Amino acid sequence: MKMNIWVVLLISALAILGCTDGEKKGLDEITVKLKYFHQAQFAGNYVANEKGFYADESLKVNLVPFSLEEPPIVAVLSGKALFGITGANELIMARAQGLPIKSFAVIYKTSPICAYSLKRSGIVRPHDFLGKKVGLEKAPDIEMMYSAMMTRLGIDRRRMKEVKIDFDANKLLDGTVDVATGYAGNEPHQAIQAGHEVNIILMADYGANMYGDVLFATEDTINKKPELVEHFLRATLKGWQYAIENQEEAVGIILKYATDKTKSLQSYMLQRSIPLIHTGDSPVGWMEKARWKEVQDIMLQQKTLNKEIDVDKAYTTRFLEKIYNKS
Amino acid sequence: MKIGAKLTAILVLVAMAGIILSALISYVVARKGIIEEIERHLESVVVLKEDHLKKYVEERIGDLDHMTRNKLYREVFLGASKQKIRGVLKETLAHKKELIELFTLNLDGVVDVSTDERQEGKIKSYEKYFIEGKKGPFLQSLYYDLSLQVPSMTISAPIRDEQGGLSGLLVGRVNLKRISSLMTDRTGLGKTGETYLVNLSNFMITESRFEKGLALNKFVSTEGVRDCLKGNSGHRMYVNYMGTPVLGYYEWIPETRACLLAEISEKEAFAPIDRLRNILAFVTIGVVILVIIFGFFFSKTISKPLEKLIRGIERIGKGDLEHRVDVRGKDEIGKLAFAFNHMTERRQEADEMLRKAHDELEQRVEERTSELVREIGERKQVEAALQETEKLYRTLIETSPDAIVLVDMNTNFLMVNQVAVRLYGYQNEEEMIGKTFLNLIVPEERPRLFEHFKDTRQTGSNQILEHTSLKKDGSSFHAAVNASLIFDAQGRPKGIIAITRDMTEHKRAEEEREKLIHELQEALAKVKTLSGMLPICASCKKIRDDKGYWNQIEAYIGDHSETEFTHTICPECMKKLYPDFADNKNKEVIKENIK
Repeated sequence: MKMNIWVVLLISALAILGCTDGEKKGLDEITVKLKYFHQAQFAGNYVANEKGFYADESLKVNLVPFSLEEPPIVAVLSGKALFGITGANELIMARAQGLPIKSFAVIYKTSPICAYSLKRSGIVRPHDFLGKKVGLEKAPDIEMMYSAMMTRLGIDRRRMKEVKIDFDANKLLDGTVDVATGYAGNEPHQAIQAGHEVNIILMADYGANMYGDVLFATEDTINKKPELVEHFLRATLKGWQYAIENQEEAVGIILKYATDKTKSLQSYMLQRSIPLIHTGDSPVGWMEKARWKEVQDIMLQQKTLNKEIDVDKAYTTRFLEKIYNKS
Repeated sequence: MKIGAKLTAILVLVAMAGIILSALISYVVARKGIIEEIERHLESVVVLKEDHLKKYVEERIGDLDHMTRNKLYREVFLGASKQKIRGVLKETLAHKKELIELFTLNLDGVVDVSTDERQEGKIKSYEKYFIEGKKGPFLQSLYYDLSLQVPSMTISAPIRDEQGGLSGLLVGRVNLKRISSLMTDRTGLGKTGETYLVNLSNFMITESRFEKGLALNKFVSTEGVRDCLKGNSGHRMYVNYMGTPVLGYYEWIPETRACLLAEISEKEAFAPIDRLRNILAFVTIGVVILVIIFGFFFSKTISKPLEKLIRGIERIGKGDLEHRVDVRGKDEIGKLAFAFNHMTERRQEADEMLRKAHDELEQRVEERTSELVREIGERKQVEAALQETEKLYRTLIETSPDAIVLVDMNTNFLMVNQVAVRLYGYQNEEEMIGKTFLNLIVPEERPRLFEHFKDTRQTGSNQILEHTSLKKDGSSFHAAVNASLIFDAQGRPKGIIAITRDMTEHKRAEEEREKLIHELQEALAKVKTLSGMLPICASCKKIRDDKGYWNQIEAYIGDHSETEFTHTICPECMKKLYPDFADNKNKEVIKENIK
């Protein structure tokens, strides 16, 4: 009889060991829905995954890229993903519709939305757009920011020719437009790859600044599973910090995930992104009410938002405070 | 454990304890001293650097402040064209290497004129240096300028018009390389020491001495930095941003809103301590070895003679009393040996005496033993004889038909035989023994018997005394006792032995005898009457008695003897009188009738 018990125990032990990786180590498996396709924009997440920061926090993270059928907010609300990355303006819009999502960290403290021109054009600031052909990408946030900037600067948009363009630098390169809009880490690279020097005109420099990518989850998750949020955030921030300090290595990690495996692109994107994420005057991920208000102000001004929301409820700094010991 | 080893051990332990204790104490004290020394050094380095830094910052602020107050400058700022202003700024920059950019902000926070034309038109209304700079000279401590894509320290100062109203801001960016080199140059902290600045967001502002590209990239959250960012100054041992254990001194510098840290690796800092420790360890070990060797040899001077002594003692103990321990010397062991030898001598003598006495004793014992054996044999014989005698006496006593008792000098029974027990009606001896014999005498005769007793006791006289005895049940009987005094071995009177006979039978027999005699006498009287001459009638055969009366023969014989007559008829008469019944057939009937 005694033998039998030992055999049973042994088999059970082996069975338990034979289970999947996640269960073996006692990891919580979660899904994170990214704002876009895999690229250096999400460097922190990739680094956290590859360097085992998520595992250190007992997490097994699936990073799922953007899909039209299921944008991050939908994915998170439907429960398909626990966390998501979306724009701060999109989050405010969702909240205005009563959707119970909340941000717990900001990644891009400065919006990457920019205008760019070839150096030889001499267009170095928005004021130079007057009388020129401006290519506007069909993204709502780009349009909103562009409009906000022009309003702030008091520039009359009728004094330039605005053309709708796609999400690439083609129209700039072929001369259809003199200056194009895009994201600082992305489209300008195409021009650089083509051998040109580029002027980057960051809209944040010209009065249209708002938070870009933010991390969010449902209020339910934040209230009922705060440990998961904390673990995820801590590892992600650690990932970003590591990427900031070890950019070369980070690029290598990004390339494992990126859809576009052009090293120079991912390297360029990371290089351009880091100053927007790591501004030196506050820790990575830190949020302030004034900046959230700015987002709302721009939205209200540009009529993308009709009604004010309680900005305090759109985000929480409690996890940041805990992680940075600032509470 | 042998004494030699014990001694060595004690010596070594004591010495070791002493040495180790003093080594430890000196190490601890020295270490403390060295640490304090280093801390002081670090502190002085920090103070020095802080001084430089503050001065530097003050100077830069002063630069700008000066420019905004300077009449000539003001004129330019307030009145001149953009081109002119730009020219003036550029020229100023050429002279002030500590600044890398100069620009003016209008009241909306837009860059008006800048030494870097690219910056013109940019909106800086969010920046603290704009918001705060409107009030007075302001230093925005190190942050990452996204326009310039470099870490930046920005100083702003208000430009006021003649009336004192705000017309704009003059802003200058400080060359951070200078600050960095301030920190890293000539620290005097040896090979592993460095000083650096960390801002409120835990970012290293100045370059690290050991790794490039850390400025404003490195997130530093070491113990030292954490404590410093709370506004504290002090020294501490912790692990630094490189993962090296360091001894650090840190101070919060409000003017730059950054922490200044001076660190030196523990290894380098404690090198002298380690050296000291090693020296002490060596010395300690060396001394310990010496002590062991010395102790070993020294203890031999004690253990060797001791061993000799022990061996000598053992030998003597085995019986060799001739042997003497050969240990001389004036110390305690020598004295012990001497005393032991002396003791051995005495022992030898005593042994001799003992032996003699022993022999003597043995002899005596032998003699006495044979005596005793003989005596015992004799005694046994006597005992046997005695036992036989006793048995004989006992049998005598028990088989006697008389009651035999022994009483002590106080009249109490010592012994009673079974006949006595039965005679007096008791159950057993125990009921009688110990009690006075007077209980067995009827009360009226007790005094008499007691007198007789005393008499016998006194004189040993031996008389038969008749008396009335009392049984247990209270009945009495006639008895006769014969008492005799008996003596113990020493010839002293011991008790009285008495034999008592139940005289009841005797008395009865006597009475019966009397009666019988009486009867006999009566019978005899009757018999006498029939002897002698009896006058008898020759015809009728009547007899004349002693009273003169003529009795029929049968009457006379019947009265004077025991005879009784049975009247029958003789055959002759029968024939005569009753001729019918003369034949034998009717003899019985006749006998019957006649009876």
